Amino acid sequence: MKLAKISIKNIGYKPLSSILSVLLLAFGIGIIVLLVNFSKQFEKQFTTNVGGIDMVVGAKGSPLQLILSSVYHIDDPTGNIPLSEYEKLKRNPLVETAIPLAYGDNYKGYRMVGTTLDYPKHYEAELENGNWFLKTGEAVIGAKAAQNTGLKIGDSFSGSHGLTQSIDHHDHFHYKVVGTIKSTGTVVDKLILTDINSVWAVHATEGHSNKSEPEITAAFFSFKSPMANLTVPRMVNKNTSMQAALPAIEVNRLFSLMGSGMQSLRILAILIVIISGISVFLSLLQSLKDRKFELALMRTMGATRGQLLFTILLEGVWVALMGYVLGIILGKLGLLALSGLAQSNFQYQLQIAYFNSLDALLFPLSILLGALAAFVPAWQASKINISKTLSHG
Amino acid sequence: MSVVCNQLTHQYLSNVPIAFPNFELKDKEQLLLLGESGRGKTTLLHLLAGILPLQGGDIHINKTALKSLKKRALDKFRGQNIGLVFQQAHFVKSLSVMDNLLLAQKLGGKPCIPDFALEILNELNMGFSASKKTYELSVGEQQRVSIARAIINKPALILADEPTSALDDKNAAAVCQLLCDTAQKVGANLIVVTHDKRLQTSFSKKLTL
Repeated sequence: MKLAKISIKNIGYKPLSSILSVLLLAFGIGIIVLLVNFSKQFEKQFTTNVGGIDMVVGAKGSPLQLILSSVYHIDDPTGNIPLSEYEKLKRNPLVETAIPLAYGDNYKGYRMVGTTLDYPKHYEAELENGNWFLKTGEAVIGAKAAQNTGLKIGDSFSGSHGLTQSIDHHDHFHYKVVGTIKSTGTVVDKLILTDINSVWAVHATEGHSNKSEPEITAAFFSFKSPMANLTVPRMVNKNTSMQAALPAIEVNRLFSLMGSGMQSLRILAILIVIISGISVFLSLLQSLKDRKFELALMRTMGATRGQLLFTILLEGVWVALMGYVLGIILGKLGLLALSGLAQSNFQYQLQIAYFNSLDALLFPLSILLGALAAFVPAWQASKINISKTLSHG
Repeated sequence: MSVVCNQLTHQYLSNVPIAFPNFELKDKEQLLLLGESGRGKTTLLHLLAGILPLQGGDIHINKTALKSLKKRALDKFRGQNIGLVFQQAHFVKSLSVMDNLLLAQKLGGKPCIPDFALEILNELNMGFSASKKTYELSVGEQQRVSIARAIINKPALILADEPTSALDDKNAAAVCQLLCDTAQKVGANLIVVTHDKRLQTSFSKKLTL
């Protein structure tokens, strides 16, 4: 017969009063788990993918849209730019590296990007099998794209026009899969990479562009000195038909846009947790009123004040423990749902750990909350006047 | 086993102090304390049980002076040496009959032995109730279980506060008999506090407050 057992039985005896506390704590913890995991992965995705890119150049339009479409492949491109303008900018003495991108087609919702081998190199992507694309019509597949489209080396496929699945197939042009890329944890995983000439070949034969001059969609630049961050974009925006956007600035802007929303959700979650503590406090206080006689009885049976204090404290702790477990489960389920949403809309997936350091950190905090909320009722229980309670009970 | 009460007085705040008669119980002796309401019957019982602090006088139970015991020690002494039976049986409602008995062992600082608890229940013909919740039993059955709880730690002294007032004649006689017999069997002193005149014949030693 452990005192812990009594406290569990006491909760089970009148479960309704504990349910609200458990639910509140579970929701609070669930939201925290969801929020922290999501914002951490969101920031990680955005900062790893943008690393090493000082400037993105594309057609004029929203700079954020340009970054989202060219770096993360989650928005539509702002338009096309002439290849000659790109070539001219590339010769600027301040430019260290330049990577051209031509995209606009997809296979089963996975975007096809025509580029040079510098692109996978930039993301330190390595081949899992096969070779890199060398000739027009060859394609290598990112890990997630390969997994979800089922494309293997030797398969041939044709892309569809646009960035989402459509019926407008480029049936006459077939790509051949020559390699698959190891998972990198970057945007490369969800892409199908081809040589930039392949993209031109597809569209030239179809007469998409009747201009003779080839075009690209966007280009990444890195500079030799940080000074160029100030001068080159200004020059591009002023003197050319193109737009230059700095990923660092746009990503920061995105974070601060999301940040205020996250912040208010976080405050809400903490408020819910605090209210759950108050709920534990009030329901224990209420139940002690009904159990006064029982507590006095336990004292007559030899229970010390400390033992009563401990028993009631444990009731708070059990409720907190249940709220914690339920909250972690809720949080993970929420992440799973969010991951599914991100997967179907952007081909991004969230990593969902069974148990991570945040979950571990929330455990002692929850227990502490339960103990703290139960402390005053437990203290009162331990101070109960046995004789008076028995005479008037 | 012995109980000695010497020059005991108690005063509630501004009220007139109550002086209790001296008495002494030797091995296995049983005492009936009679008195009308308000004569301090329950007060005396609570003093004996050590749940009211002593103001004047001495109580020795099994040659231990209650005065000499402090807080925790007094709680443990009570758990081990004193069994209490109330007018209305009270239990920890969320626990079964068996668990209530095991709780008494635990709080009395004894090892929890379900077999022993069941043995005691069987002796009181309550073996069938072990896994029931206490509120599922009749009033008479509850009183039997509370007697089982009072004797489970083989106490030196059993204190019963109006144990029969809520019962009809038949049950009252049975419970009274049971109290006397079980106290005898475990070798405990028994003090019954009551205004219930039906019990007078069962006790040889009586004291009126």
